[in-house]
Amino acid sequence: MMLFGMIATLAFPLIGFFLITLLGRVLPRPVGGWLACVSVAGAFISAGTVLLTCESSATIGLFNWFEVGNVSAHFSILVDSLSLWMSVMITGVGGLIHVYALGYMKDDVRLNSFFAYFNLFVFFMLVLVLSDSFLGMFIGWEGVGLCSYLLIGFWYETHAYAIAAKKAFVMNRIGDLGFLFAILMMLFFWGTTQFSVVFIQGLGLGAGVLTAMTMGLLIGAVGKSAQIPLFTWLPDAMAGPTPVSALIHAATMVTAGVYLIARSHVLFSGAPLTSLMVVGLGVATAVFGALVALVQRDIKKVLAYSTMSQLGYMVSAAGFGAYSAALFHMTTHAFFKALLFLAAGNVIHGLHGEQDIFKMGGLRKKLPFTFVVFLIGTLAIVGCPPFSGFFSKDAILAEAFAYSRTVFVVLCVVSVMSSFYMFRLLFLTFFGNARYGEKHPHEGALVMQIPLAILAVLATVGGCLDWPQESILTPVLGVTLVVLALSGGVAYFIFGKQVDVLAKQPVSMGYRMLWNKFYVDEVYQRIIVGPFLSLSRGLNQYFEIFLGKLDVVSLRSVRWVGYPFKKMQDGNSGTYILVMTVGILCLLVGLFL
Amino acid sequence: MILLGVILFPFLSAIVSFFLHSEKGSKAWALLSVFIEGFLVFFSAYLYSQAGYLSVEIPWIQTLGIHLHFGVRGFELWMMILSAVVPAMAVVSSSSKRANPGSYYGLLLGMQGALMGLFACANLFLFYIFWELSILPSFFLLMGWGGLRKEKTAVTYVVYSLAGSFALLAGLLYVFMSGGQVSVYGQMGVFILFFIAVAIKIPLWPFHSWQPDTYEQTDHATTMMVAGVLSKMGLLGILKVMLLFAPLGAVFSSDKVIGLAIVSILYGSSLALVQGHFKRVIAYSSLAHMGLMAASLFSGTSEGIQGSIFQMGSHALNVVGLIWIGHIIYERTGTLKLAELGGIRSRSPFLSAVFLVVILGSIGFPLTNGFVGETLMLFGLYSVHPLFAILAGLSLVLGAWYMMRLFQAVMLGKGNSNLPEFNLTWSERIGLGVIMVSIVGMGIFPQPFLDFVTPSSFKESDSSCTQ
Amino acid sequence: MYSIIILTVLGIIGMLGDMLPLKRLFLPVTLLGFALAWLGYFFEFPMHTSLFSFDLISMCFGGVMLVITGISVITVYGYGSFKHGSEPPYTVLALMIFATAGGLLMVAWSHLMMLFLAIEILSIPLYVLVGSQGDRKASQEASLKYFLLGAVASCIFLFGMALYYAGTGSFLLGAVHPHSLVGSAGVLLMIAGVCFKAGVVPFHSWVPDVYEGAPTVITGWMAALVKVAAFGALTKMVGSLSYSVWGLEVMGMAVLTMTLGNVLAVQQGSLKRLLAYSGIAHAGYMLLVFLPVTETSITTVFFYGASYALGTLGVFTVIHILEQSGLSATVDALRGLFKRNKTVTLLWCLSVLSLAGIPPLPGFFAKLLVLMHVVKAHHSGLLWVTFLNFLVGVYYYFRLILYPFTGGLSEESVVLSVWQKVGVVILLILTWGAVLFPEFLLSVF
Repeated sequence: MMLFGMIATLAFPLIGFFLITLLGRVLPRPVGGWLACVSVAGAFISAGTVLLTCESSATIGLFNWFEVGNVSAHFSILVDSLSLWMSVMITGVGGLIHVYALGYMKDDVRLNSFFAYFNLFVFFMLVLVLSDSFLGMFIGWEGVGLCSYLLIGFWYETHAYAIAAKKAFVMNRIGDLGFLFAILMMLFFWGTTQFSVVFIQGLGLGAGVLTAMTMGLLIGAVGKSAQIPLFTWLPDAMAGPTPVSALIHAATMVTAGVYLIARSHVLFSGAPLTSLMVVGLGVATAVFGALVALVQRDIKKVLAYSTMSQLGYMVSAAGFGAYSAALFHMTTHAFFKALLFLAAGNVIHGLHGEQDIFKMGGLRKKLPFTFVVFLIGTLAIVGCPPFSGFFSKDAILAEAFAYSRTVFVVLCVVSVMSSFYMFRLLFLTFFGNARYGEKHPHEGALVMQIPLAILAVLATVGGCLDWPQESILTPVLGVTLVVLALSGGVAYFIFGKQVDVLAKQPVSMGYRMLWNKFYVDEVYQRIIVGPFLSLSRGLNQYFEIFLGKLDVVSLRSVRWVGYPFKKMQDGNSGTYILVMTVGILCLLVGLFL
Repeated sequence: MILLGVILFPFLSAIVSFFLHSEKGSKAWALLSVFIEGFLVFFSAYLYSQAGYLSVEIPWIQTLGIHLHFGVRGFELWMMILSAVVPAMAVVSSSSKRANPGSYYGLLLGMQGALMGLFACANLFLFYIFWELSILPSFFLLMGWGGLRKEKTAVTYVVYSLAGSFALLAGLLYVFMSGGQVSVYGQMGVFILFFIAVAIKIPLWPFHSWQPDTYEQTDHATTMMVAGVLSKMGLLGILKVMLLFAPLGAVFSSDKVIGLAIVSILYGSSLALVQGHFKRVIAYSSLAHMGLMAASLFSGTSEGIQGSIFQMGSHALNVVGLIWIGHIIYERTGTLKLAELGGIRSRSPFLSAVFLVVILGSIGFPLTNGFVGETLMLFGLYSVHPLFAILAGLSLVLGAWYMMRLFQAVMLGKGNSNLPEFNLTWSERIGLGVIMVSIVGMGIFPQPFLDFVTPSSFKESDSSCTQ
Repeated sequence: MYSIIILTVLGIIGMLGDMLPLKRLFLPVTLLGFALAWLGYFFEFPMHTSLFSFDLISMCFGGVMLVITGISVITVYGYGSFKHGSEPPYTVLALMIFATAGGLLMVAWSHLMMLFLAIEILSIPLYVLVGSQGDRKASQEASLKYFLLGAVASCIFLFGMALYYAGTGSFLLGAVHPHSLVGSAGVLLMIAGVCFKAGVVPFHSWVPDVYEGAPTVITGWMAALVKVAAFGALTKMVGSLSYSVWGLEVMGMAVLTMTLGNVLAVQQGSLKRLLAYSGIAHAGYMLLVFLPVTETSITTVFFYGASYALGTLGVFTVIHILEQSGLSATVDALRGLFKRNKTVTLLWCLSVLSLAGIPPLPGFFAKLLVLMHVVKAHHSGLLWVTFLNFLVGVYYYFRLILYPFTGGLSEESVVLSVWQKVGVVILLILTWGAVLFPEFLLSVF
C-alpha cells in the first residue's frame, strides 16, 4: 500500500508531464490543463492516503543510481511524517493553484507547455521532499530551479523576463554549489548521503568539519529561499505568470531551504556557529524584506518582499531550533501567501495586467469576492487571531523569546512592519478612489474562485493543525491585537482615504533607499558582475590576442635569426667563395682547439 | 582480429570515398561505412565483455622492433565507441551541398580510422603515429571546407598540434631509449614533455589559443570531431601514456597540473561569457570542461578518474549536440553571431527543447549525463584538496551563466521578424532525439557505463608498450 | 664494374640518340639497362680492388640512385613528348646517365683518387645540365656559378688529399691513422669537399641559386641524386676516420646547416629556393647520423637518403607540372591545385608531408631514426635544436600543403603526358610501398 502510494505520488505528475509534452500538439488546449490538474490531484490523493493510513516511517528503495569506488548513490523514498506532510501540502496547494491556472492562463497560446512545466515542478518538488538522501534531494533541488527558470521566463519573448529567469537560475546555482559542496563532504566522509547514515554518524565528526558542511547546506538554503545575500532573484522572478509566483515563489520552492535546514537539524545542532549564522541571516532577511515591502508599488513585488521577510522568519526559526514552528509557519504561509498571490492575480487579471497599486484603489466594490479572500489572507499573514498566521507566528515568537530577547524584539518589529505594509497594500488596492482609469475590472471565472475559496478556508483554520503546546498565548494575543489595530489605523490614515495618494509621495533619503531596495542589485552589478565581465572582456580582447600573436612573434624571431644568413646569400660568387673560405678556416682553426 | 578490422575499415572506405563524386552517393557510402564501423565497434565491445581483453599483434618493422600491436581495455573501448558514434552523428548531420563531397567524407572516415587506431594501439610507436595521423584530416577538412579565415587558422592549428606532437615524440623517444624504466629525473622530464603534448591537444590554458578559431572556422562536422573526440585524445594520452610511463612525475606535479587545469576551467568559463559567436562559446566552454576532466584524472582517486572517463563520453555527446544545433541554425539563418540570432524557440519548440536538455547536460544538471561525471570529478578533486573542488565547482555557476546566456541569445526574445521556418528533417529529428534521450538516459542509468570503465581496467600496465 | 660499364654504354647510346633508328625503343632500353646495371652488382658482389670496392653500401646507394635517375628519365622523356612535336632531349638524358655513373662510383671507391674522379664525373655533366636551358639567363648564370664554386670545392678536396697523403703516406682511408696535424687537416678538407656536394653550411651557397636556375626536371633529379651520392661517399669516408678529428666540426656544421636551411626556407616565396633551403636543412639532419658513427648510422643515412630522394622527386615533379601549365614556380602557383588535378595534389601532399616528417610517411621513419641516434648519443642540446628545427620546418611545409586548397590563380585542369602520368604513379606507389614495408629498406644493412 505504502509502496504503491508513494510511487503513485511521484509517478502521477511525471506521467502528466510526459503526456502533455508528447501530446502537446495533438491535445486540445484545455484538455492538457485538466490532465495536469488530474495528475496532481492523483498525487494528492495517493499522498493523502498514505499519510492517513501509514503509522510508522519507512524507506522504499527504488534502484541504484551509481556506485563508484567508495561512493554510492541510491534512489529511495523516505516515508515519514515530515516528508508525507510536505508532499500532501505540495500536492494540495499545488493542485489548487493548478486549477486556478486553468482559468488564469486560458487564453495563452502555450497553455499546454505551461501545465507540463507545472507538473514537472510538482514532480521535482516531491522528489526533493521524498528523497532519503541528500543527493536525491539535490535532484529535486535543481529540478525545481529548472522549472522555476522555465516558468519565470514563460513569456520569453519579453527580453526582461528572459533576463529575470536567467538571473534566478544562476543565483540559485550559487546556492546549489554550496549544497553540492556539502554533498561532496558527506561522500568523502561516509561514501553516501543517505539520511540514515549521515544523521547517525554526523555528530561523530569534529565541529570544524560539521561547520563547513552545514555552511554548504546553508548556502544552498540561502540561494533557494532567497535569503541575504542571494535574494535579488526573487523580486525579479515575479516576471512569471501569477500562478507561478503563487506556487513556486511563495508556497513551495522557496521554502525548500527551510525544509533542508529542518531536515538536517542534527548536523546544524552540532555546528553552533552555522546556527548562529542561520539566525542572523534569517533575521536580517526578515527585516530587509519588510523594510523594502513598505514602499513598493507593484502588487506582486510587495508580496514577493513579504515572502522574503516571512522566509527570513522561518529560516531564523530553524536557526534557533524551532524546527516544528518553522515548518508550521511554512505550512500556514503556503496557504495564505498562495491565497494572497492568487487574489492578486485576480486583481491583475481583472485590470488587464495592471500591477501598480497606485493605479488601483476602490476595487472593494468591483471585486467583492477577491476583496474578501484578500482580506482573509491579509489578516492571516499579519497574525490576527484566530487566523492561521497568528498561531504559527506565535509559535516562532515564543521560541524566539526563549532563545534571545534581541531576536524576539526584532521579529516583533518585523511583524509590525508586515502588518503595516499588508494593510497598505489592502487599502491601496481595495479602498479609496478608483485610479485605474477606463478599465472595467471583473471577477475571474468560477474555476479561479473555487481554489481561492478553499485556500481562504485553509488560511483561516490552518492554525488548528498544530496548536502550540507551551504558549505565551494570552499576552501575545493582547499585544498582537493592539499592534494590529495601531498599524492598521496608521495604514488606513495614510492610504485608506479618498485622496490622491500619488501627490503625497514623500521623497526623503530613507524612502529612496527603500524604494531602490537598498541598491543591492546595483551594488552587485557594480562590484561583482560588472568588474567580472570587464575582466573577461579584457582577457578576451588583450590576452587572447596576445596568445594569438605568439606564432607571429615566433615567426618574426625566426626571420630575425635568419637575417645574417640572408646577407650571405647575395647571389655574388665572390661572397660565396669568401664564405666557403672562412668556413674552411674555421674548420682548420677548430683543429687546434 | 576484429580490432584490425575496426581500424582498417574506415581507412579502406575512406579510400573508396575519395573516388566518389556525387553528393548523395558519397553520403550514402559514408553513412553505410559509419554504421558498419559502429556495428564492428559494438561487436568488439560485446567480445570484450566476454573475453575481458582484446588484442592483436602483427609484425611490421622488425628492425626497430615495432609491431602492429593493438589491445583494448574498457576505457579504450569506451573511447572507441565514442569515435564510432561521433562521426556517425557528423555524417548524419551533414546535409548541405558542398564541393568535393567524396573527399570530404573520405577525410572524415580517415580521421575516424586514425582515432580508432590511437585508442586501440598498444605501443608507443603506434600511439605517436595515430596521434599525428589524426591531425592531418582535420587540417585538410579545415583547409578544404573551412570559413573565411581558414588559412591563418589552419597554420596556427598545425603549428600548435605539431609542436605538441614533437614534445610527445621527444618523450616517447626518451622512454623508448630507456627501455620503459625511466629514472626519477627522467620521469620529470618525460612528464613535462607529455604534458605539453596533451595540454595542447586537450587544450589547457595557456595552450588553447588555437582552439576558438579552429572551432569557429571549421565546418560543423569537423568541429564535432575536434571537440567531441580529438580533444579526448589528450586525456587518453594522460591515462595511457603519462600516468603509465611517468608515474613519479605525476606524483610530484599533479598539484601544479591540477592548478593549471583549474585556471583553464575558470578562464574558459569567464571567456565563454563574453563571446559573440555560437561556436566560440562552445570552444571556451570546452576549454572549461576539458580542464575539469584533466584535473580529475590527476586526482589519483578511482572515483575522479572514472568520473572523468565517463564525462569524456558525456561531453562528447553534449558538445556534438550543441554543434549540431548550431549547424541547424546556421543552415536556416546563415549566421551564428549571437547578436543576430534570437526568438528561435517560437519557431521550433522541439529544437529549443533539445537545446535546453543539451545545455542541462553540459552544465551538470542532475539526471543528465553531466551530473554524474561532474560530481565524481569534483569528489576526486575534493579528495586532493577541498579548495580545488570549490574552485572547479565555480564552473557550475559560471557554466549555468554562459549557457543560459547562449540559450537566451539564440532561442528567447522576439527575434527577427524575417526568421525563416525551422522545418527539421527527419534525420535531424531522430538524431537530436537520440542525443536528448541518451543525455537523460546516461544521467539516470550511468552504472552500466561506469562499470565499463572500472579502474581495474587501466591498472594493469602493458609491458609490451615499450617494445 | 658491370654497372658502370652498362651506364657508360647507355650514355653513349643516348648521345647518339638523335641519329639512331628505332627511337621509340630508347626509353625501354634505358630502363632495362638500369635494371641490368643494378643486377650487375650481384654478379661481382663483393668486389674489393685497390681502386674500387663494390660492397653492400655501393649496391644499396647505387640502387637508390638508379631508381632516382630511372624515374627522372621517365619524366624528362615525358616532358619532351609533352611539348608537341619536339623530340625527347636525348642529350640531356645521356648526361643524366653519365652523372649517375659518377654517382655510382662515389659510393664504390676504395682509393681516394677514385673518389675525386667520381665527384668530377658526377659534377661535370651537372654543370652542363644546369645550364641546359640556354634561353634562360638564370640557367646560364647558375651553371657558371656552380662550375666556379665546384672548381673551388674540387681544389679543396684535392688539397685535402694531398695533405692526407703528406700526413699518412697513403691514399687509402683508414689504412693509417692520421695522428699528425697535417693528416687531420687533410681529412677535414676532404670532408669539406664532399660536404660541398651535399650542400652543407658553409659550403651551401650555391644550392639556392643553382636549384632555382636549373631546369626544374633537372633540379629535382639533381637534388635527390647528389644528396644520396654525397652522403653515401661521406658514409664510406667517416666510418674509417677517427671521430676525434672531425666530430666537433661536423656537429657545428650540422647545427648551422639545419638552422640556416629552415630559417631561410621560411622566408622564401619561390618554390625552388624554398626547397633548396629545405634540402640544406635535410643535409643538416643527415649529418647528425655521424655523431658518432655507430652500426645503425648506415641504415639511417640510407633510409633517410632514400626517403628524401622520394619526397624531393615527388615535389619537383609537381613543380615541373605546374610550370608546364604556364605558371612560374612560386608558392602562389600552388593555389587551387586541388581543383585542377587531384592526383597531382595527392602526390604533392604526400611528398611534402614526407619531407616534413609526418607519420606514417617514410620521411617520418627517417627522422625518427635520426632522433633515436641523437638520443642514444646523449646530445640533449642537439636534440632540442633538432626539435626546434623540425617545428620551423613544419611551419613552411604546411604552408605548402595549405595553398593547393585555397582559391586558385588558374582554374583550368592540369594535363599530363602519358609518361608523366607513369612517373607520378610510380612515385605514389613507391611512397605507399615505403609506408607499408619500410622493413624492406631498413633491414638491408
